Amino acid sequence: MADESLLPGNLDQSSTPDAPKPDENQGCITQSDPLSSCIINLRKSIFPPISPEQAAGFMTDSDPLSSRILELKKSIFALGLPSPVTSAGAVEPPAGIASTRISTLHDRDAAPAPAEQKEKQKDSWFWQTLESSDTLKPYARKVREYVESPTDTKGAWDWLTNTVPKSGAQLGVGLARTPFDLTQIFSGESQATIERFLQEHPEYEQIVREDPTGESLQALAGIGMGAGTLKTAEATARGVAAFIGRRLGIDTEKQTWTWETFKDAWVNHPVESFAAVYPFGASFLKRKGITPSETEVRELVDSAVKDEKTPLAQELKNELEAGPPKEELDFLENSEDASASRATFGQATTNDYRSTFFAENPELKGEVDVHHAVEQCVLTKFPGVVTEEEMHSIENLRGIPKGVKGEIHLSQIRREWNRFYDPFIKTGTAPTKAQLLQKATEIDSMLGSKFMPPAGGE
Amino acid sequence: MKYYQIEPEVAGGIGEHSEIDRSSGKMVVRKLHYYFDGWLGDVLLESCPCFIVTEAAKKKLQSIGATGIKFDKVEVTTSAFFQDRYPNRQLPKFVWLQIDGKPGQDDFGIAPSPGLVISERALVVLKGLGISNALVTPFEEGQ
Repeated sequence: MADESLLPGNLDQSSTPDAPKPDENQGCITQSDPLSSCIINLRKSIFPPISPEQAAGFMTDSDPLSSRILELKKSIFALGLPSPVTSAGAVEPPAGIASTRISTLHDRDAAPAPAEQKEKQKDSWFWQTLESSDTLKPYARKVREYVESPTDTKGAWDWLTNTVPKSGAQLGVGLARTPFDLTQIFSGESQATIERFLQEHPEYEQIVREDPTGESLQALAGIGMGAGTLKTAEATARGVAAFIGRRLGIDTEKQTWTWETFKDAWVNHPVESFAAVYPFGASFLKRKGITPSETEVRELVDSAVKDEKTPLAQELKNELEAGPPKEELDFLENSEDASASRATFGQATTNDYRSTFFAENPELKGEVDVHHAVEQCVLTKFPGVVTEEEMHSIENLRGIPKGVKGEIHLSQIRREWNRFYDPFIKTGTAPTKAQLLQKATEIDSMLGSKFMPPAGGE
Repeated sequence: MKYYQIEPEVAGGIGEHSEIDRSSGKMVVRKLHYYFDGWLGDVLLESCPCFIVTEAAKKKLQSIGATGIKFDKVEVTTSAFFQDRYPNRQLPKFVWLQIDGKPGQDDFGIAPSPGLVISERALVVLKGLGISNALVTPFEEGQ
């Protein structure tokens, strides 16, 4: 018989003395609050009703994630930390919730073309909700580019946390990012994606290993046990969803979402929650100037263990209840200025792009060579994403000064683009036009001051 | 033997004369056309997902019996940008370097995440011919 208490979703947190009472917090979430609506809708989107029988249809006997988690389990146990599940029998994960996720993911795998998958993601409730708000619309555009891009997540994340250091915004990103990561993990190219995910988020494992409360350890070990015993992707997914679900406010036993579950996870168990939903946790740490290195994580854990009402937890609690301070959303007022320096496409009337450029910048003839911001090879590598008229439009042309320095910069640019293409090519997908322009914007912001005329608002 | 992750110079891109098969859902290049947009002089070049090397590098790698690679022809052209910028520059002969080895075992291999992985002896050969613009970092098993 399975020891269900070991399952991540069944970890008992109700005995926590300071855990909020259910009635205390229900008023904190309202349909009129965009953030609250996002949370409610997130639950509906990820966990719509589905029977275990339906989910069983998607079971497979071998899945790269299972083996990866088993490796994780071995490495965790190798540390000599308590291993409460090693003597447990077969673990029967909670049915329903994660099965739904599997269904969704397999449906995505069965989709005929990557472009359609992207389209589904694009039209999800999450973006509709964000974009339905005039206030949040500019922010939504940035977040969408970030969340939908499987590449350069570190750079994008840095940008977001530096530019939008708002807990409310970060919460939205964190919530959006987590199902995105899961989607990536369980999609066709799961092995490569898992490797990439873990490489990009080494702190995920780090925090789990450093967690002296053992909850994260138990949760991951429970996932590993489930995967090892049942050897199915479904079991693994159930475990992952249960583990992360609590941090999204989902009670895996009752299969319901509650604000108090959500809040309890973040206020009273911040470390475990950081481990479960790393992107959000890491961003919060970063705001506090904490790099989640081994030493600092240990310090954080120690303080969290001594007193669950750490200043960090208290501040998070305040912001969860009251929302982000209004002044922290002031960046939205500058969004128009920001968009003015973004890379864009226009419509060229000729493919002779040099004529187009010098007609606009006659004084630069002989001074610069003309290059494309979004590279021409995109037409070959990802046909159909950009038209020739857009490619050769004046908006997509850059003047590169003649000389050795220009040569080095060009080499840097080509390398940047090559790195950008890599994950798309490996997964058989294609970047969207918005993603290409976002990359061009990044490059403009890095090197645009060297161009003539300067690009990227410098 | 030690192995290294290498990120070669990117001198250009995959040109329009390439034949690309997408029937499997992946991008498989059947015939390679590499256009140069610039060139800092390295003998090993990349444009994801393809690599090319100079004929001299091919011969040297063959002479040491490098594993995990095969060669094919590549059509090389220069872009208008290249012609404007380097009107007198002559390019050496290049060949398509196709990699089918296992990273950390063969002299050339492709790892899921870091990409191209080469052995120490392959690195020595390439360094001798010139790859000063490549980024090279030690590769660890399991990476």
